[in-house]
Amino acid sequence: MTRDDLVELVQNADIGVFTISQELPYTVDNQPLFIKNSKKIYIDLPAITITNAFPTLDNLSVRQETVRITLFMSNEARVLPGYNDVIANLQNLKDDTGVKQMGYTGRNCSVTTRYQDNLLVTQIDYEFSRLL
Amino acid sequence: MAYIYPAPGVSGVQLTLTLKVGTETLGLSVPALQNVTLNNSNDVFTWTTLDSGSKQQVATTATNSLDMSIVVDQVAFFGAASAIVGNQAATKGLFGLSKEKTLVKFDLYLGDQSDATNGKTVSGQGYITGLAPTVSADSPVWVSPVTITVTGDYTVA
Repeated sequence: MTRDDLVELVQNADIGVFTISQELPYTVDNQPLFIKNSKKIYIDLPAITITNAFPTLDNLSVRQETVRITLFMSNEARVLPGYNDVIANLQNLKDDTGVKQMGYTGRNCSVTTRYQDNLLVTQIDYEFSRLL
Repeated sequence: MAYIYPAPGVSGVQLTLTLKVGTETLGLSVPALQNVTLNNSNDVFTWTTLDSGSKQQVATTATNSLDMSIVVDQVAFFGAASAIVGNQAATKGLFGLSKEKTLVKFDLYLGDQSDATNGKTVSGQGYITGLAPTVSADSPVWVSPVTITVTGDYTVA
């Protein structure tokens, strides 16, 4: 799973009034882009971990790849236009057919929120794992 | 002191287990061993005497077995139809050897020593038992315990 894969999935999802940015969620003037530009979805680069899932006494190597990708977005906390539906749609991306076809049997996603000034900041952490 | 260090994945140094049937020379080299336990469990005969507050005991015969776990390799487990003629162990595979209750000879090389000298090989003969291949959603690769129930004594060379 690459960042581009997730960007494409989000582009094809129903994300209501939100749009997806191709930029990384870097910081400008001490503010992350997802704070400066509310209602824009930013996706970070993936963190990939490869571990030996079944250690053996010879040279067989069954490796497990775990990919973690984080999505950020913000919107005015005062009004939440279709917010719940958008979050549900973004959560459902973890079980997209394309993701399953890539062989990811472990598909998890967690949503956390916080407030910054008048903004509700949402962070979605996707975690995909498969055997290589 | 030199301890036994079977460096996993290092050819010629790592632990190996070879199974042979009869007088065949090639045999089946069991791949993907996860762990191995060499058992030599002596029975004990116990008796008491009227002049002692403690029991007397003497070791008698031993029950020997090799316990291990493997990641199931299809060819090694179910045998290779294309194995060299006369190599029954490789042709039958672990499952065939167990199903047909074939007496196998085994050579367990424990691995090199930490000072890079050759280690010991424990040999004997017995029957493959205890196969229980299992897979689960959390662990989606087949693994199985394997026991070689040893008949007779070990030899160490």
